[in-house]
Amino acid sequence: MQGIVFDIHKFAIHDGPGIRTTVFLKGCPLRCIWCHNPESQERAPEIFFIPEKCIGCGWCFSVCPNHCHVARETAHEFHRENCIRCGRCTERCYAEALELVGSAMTPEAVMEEVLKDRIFYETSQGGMTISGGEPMMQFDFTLDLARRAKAAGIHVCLDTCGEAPYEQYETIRPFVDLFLYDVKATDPEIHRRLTGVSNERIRENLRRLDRSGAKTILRCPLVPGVNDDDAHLLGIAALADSLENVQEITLHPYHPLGIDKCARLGKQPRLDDKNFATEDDVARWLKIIQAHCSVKTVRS
Amino acid sequence: MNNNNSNHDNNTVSALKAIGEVFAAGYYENENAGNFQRCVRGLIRSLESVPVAQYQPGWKLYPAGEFNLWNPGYDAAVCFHYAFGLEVDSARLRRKAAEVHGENSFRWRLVDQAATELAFLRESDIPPQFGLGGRAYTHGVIHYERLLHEGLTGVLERVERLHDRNPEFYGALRELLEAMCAYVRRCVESIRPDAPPELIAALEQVPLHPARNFYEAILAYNFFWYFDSCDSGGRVDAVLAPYAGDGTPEAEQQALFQEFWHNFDLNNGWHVILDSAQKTCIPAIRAQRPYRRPNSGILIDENTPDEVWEAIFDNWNAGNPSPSLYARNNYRRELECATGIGGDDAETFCFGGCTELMIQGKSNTKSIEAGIHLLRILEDTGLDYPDYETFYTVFLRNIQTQIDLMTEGVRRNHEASALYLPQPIRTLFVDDCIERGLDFEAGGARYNTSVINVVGLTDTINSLYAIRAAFRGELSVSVPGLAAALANDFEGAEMLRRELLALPKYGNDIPEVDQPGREFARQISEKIRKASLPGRPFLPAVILFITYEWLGWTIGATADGRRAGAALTDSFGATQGSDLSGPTALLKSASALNPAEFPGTPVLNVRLNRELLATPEARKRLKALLTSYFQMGGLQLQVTVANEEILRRACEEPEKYPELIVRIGGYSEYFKNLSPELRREVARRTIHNF
Repeated sequence: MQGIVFDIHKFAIHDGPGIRTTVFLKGCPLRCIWCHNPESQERAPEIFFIPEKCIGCGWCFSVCPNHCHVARETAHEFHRENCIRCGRCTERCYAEALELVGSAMTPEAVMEEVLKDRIFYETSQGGMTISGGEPMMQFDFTLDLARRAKAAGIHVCLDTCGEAPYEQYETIRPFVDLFLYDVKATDPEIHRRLTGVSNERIRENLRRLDRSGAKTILRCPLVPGVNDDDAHLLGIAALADSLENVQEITLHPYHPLGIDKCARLGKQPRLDDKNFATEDDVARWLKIIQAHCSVKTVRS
Repeated sequence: MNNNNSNHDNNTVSALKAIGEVFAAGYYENENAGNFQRCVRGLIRSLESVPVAQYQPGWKLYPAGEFNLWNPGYDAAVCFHYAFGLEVDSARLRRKAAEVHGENSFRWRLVDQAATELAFLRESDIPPQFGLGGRAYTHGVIHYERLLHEGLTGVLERVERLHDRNPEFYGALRELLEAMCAYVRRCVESIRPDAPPELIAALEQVPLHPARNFYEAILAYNFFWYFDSCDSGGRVDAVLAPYAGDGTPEAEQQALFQEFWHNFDLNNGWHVILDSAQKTCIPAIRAQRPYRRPNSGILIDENTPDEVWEAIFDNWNAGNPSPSLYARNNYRRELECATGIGGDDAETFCFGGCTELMIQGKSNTKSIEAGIHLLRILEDTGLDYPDYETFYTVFLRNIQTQIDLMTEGVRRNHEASALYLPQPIRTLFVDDCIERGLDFEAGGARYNTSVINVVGLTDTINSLYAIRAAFRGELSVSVPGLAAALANDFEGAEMLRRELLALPKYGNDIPEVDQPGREFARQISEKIRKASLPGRPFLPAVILFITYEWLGWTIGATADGRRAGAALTDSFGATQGSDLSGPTALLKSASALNPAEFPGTPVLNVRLNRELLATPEARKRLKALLTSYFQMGGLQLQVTVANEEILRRACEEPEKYPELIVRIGGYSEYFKNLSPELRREVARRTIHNF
């Protein structure tokens, strides 16, 4: 078995309790307009290209089987339309202008990396977080990782958008200590507009997981002027209070780093807002939610 | 000993006196006395002539402020200094003589002769290529605990009891102690009209007599520290803790510590080690916040209370990297393993200088005695071999040759020091010099150790990885091709340099790099330990403080992708900018190299983003991160807290960030004081956040 992994991040401190290693899997059923990890959306590997870093060494021109890399006067052009994503051009790009995002890994290889930091999980009550993309898109692989981690005595968090068949959540639930569950909009139509899918199944999955006793942290990406209206903030508060096993609400203020990454992928960002959420925004969000629900609410 | 108090100075003495060289004049009073007695005479004449330390209005400690008791105003070309026993600037001595006596005059010739003779005392037998971070340098920690208990008069009593065993030796010490007592009394009389009565009352008790309360104890500590020419303070809070039971409020303790640390800062004082098991450590930590010095550390173990952690984190959060962390239990274990020192004495280990291991009040630790430059040996070994194994065997053999040469120099230097460079002050203040009747440099100290520095350890480990890859045909060039590129400093081979830079590097928890590195580190450590002199264990160390800039100047390009003349890696750390896998990976790599192989001091600097200190949860995580390193056998961690943006801006306009303090090697320095090159290097070192 192999999964498509695009990053294994050590000392992750924003993806659950303690010191963690986060495994990022490629592929996502949602297309959130603010997505900060656009390289995670497609399941297949992709190529990051940063023209400013190119030093014109010519390696990629010579190895690309489809001649996607072309020198046009002094500029290096990358014709993605013919790219088969073999990644050969990235192998010797020491200038780091070309980078392969995502590679096939076995669960054994992933766990070998994850287990390197076991001592830090033990001292900090941390563990492994499986994230993405949407890890449920590679369900068999995700399940295998969670099983292996549990068998090794490692705390497991699953970071999910909730858009998957409930049976899969039911299957993986015994191997997950804590679900980091996204709440992106309260109104189903707005949710569809912002992410491409309605939130009906997502909400239903959350309620069923909660009833089954699964512990969750609600993760709420908030973008000023997009989904930080009072109705949604109150909706988050009401949702949290209506559930039994929510440990915490974490607010994730918008940052524009996804725009840069879109450029590297040759894609157009869907939300071209280069402003970070301000401290005032965050303070307002916290105040409203904290006033209307009893669940601990923090910023990321 | 001839006291030579006659009214007639000999010609050399009067020539030296006329140019204000009181120590040297004292040294020449009786040329037929032993060298120890002559140095004592120099010290006594220094004490007789030194002006009293000025009372600083508002200060509770005395002396206070910048004050070199043995060379006030730094006017003397010859004086006592803790590092070598003697400081001798013979060129300056001749210059002064020329100004006053006229060049080639009779009196000039006398001074010229004295300059030659005094300079000879200071000549080192350790070849200069082994002077890496120190060349027979001595940091030390005198026996503050005992001194507070018995005062100068108590030391005098011990000396007098033993007098008849060796009247020359003990007679000299008695005279020296009497001169010290006389100096203290002179000071008290001089400042009596201006100083508050509490200070005068306390100075009438200490440092002459035993301290009776916290104030007298810290006052005495401070005074003895000035007598020792402002070196390291050792276990300040632990020694003072028993006196803190007198009801001195914590705020008052903090104010006194603050004055003491201020004195450290102004006089370039060195290390102190706090003890997290002592309540007094908290005011001591808080008091440090505005000051670069001392280089303070704190002993940590699993029982360290949360409030101590909070005090440490508060300092870091305020931008001060002190105190750094020392693993008490690991150090105790490794000390015993490396030196055989156990029992109660092992409980009082402390650190001198930047951060070199020693025993409080009982050791003569040469820190740093000498070192070997691995990259220089690697460069000299070359790559002209049929295979990697042959290359590696020759490299190790060459390292052994250099260690042997260094050791012979160290041995000869100790013989010379015992003869020519006595340390009467430390003979009085370090066990068991008085009881043994031996000078500090002649075997008087209970323990004698030498810290031996290993330069370029992690650079070499990265280079060896690349060289192995070349021999195995895994690079785009052959071994001769690599050798040629290195010889030409990668001229026309930029792609090869990038290829080398992209190879796996130490600091990223990559077993293929770290495991051979561990074996290499073990071999180096073993070679150094085996070279130990009888009764003087060698303690291998890896410490490159400010020297790491110039130690790279003469080293050609290296196989890890480093350009000729570029800076080396800071101590046990990863090469600047190469540890890209986060702090857990760096700590894993460092522990993989086994810091215990370098108990002299294995300095590891980690640079942390302030975000890691922002919330209680973040601090819990940070504590877990750091203590994990100690669980894996780490000995010490030095921490710099800064955010990348500030460092970048401070590089451009350092004068706008006068308060920014960073850790380099084992000590703290104001960022603005660094050279532009070093500032850039420090800013380049990866900052670990998330």
